[in-house]
Amino acid sequence: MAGRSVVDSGAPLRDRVAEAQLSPASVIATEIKGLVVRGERDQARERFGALVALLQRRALRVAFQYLRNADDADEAVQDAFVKVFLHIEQYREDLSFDVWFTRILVNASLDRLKARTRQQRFIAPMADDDERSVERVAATEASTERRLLARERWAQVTEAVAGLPDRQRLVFTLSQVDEQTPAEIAAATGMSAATVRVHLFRALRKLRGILGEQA
Amino acid sequence: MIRREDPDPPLADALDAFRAAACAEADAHFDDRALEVQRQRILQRLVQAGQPARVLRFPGAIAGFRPAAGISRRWISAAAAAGLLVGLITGQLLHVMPGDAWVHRVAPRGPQSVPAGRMVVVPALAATDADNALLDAIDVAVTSRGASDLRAFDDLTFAYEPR
Repeated sequence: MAGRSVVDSGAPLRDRVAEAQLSPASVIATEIKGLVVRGERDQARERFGALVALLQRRALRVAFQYLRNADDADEAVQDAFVKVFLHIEQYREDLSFDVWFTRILVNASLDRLKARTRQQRFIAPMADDDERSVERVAATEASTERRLLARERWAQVTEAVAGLPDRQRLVFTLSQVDEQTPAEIAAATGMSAATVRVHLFRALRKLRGILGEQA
Repeated sequence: MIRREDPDPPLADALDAFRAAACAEADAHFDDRALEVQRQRILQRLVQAGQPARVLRFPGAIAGFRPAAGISRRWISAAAAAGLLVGLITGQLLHVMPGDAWVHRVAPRGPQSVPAGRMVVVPALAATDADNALLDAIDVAVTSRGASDLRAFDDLTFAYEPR
């Protein structure tokens, strides 16, 4: 996960990343922490914009996959970034910022999920968002045949993933969408690496079974 | 990643398709413009988070309050006067009416009602006799021999005498 796309590709940052063998996000977060500690909050906020730009898309993919709703994902990601800035002084430079951020993002997504569950007790759903998602993804494929196949496969996998228990779905999402290693997932979720592997194994076994039945 | 270790080609293909489609789906919802808007919102929230909480002022004096249009002061005064008059007349009528008639109005109807000129026993008063009987029974029980054995224990406990 560390060292993926870098928005701010200035030479000093690149050099520091290479020297310290840290992710770009960790380097920027350390800078921001220093600015906040020195009381230079305006500059810290400006620098925080670069950190947001660096992690934003990845965070939205994870949150959206987990929440299955664009508005909720938007809110969860915003909440996560705001929490990061407000608690940046608690960030430990010797640890990966990406893992710390993932942990905050997961918690923000879970909070949003709980809030939505409370709301849904009183409000009926307006439309089937997943159905529209299937149409949107299938429409990106070129030929009609490939479009149909992609639509069918995407619908099968999405349905299968949605049917996973919460923890398996979380581990699966972080592993497959965010491409995190079991060790990173363990650090971000607070589970042991062995537990993460068990959840992944069970998720994959379940998906294999579902897809095998449908084939 | 587990996906790469998985030897099952159909599952690996499905997972590849899943990841690609999941990313495409999220990216379709959040284009570059949406990302920029979100970034600005986050920075705006950070600016607001650094400021002290606003204290809303209590609404000013209500000196300018006026009754709703269409309700004149004259009507309000007339309604108040009418209410006063009705109250006075009702009070006078209660004094003018004979006592027996009043008792008949208050006493319950049916088998418990009594002829005019006799004392009326209201159920609340009748309950007093039952209470007295109960208290007598308690006194008898307390002074009986069996209960007297417990007095030693009672003497050890804190006695609270209501005043």
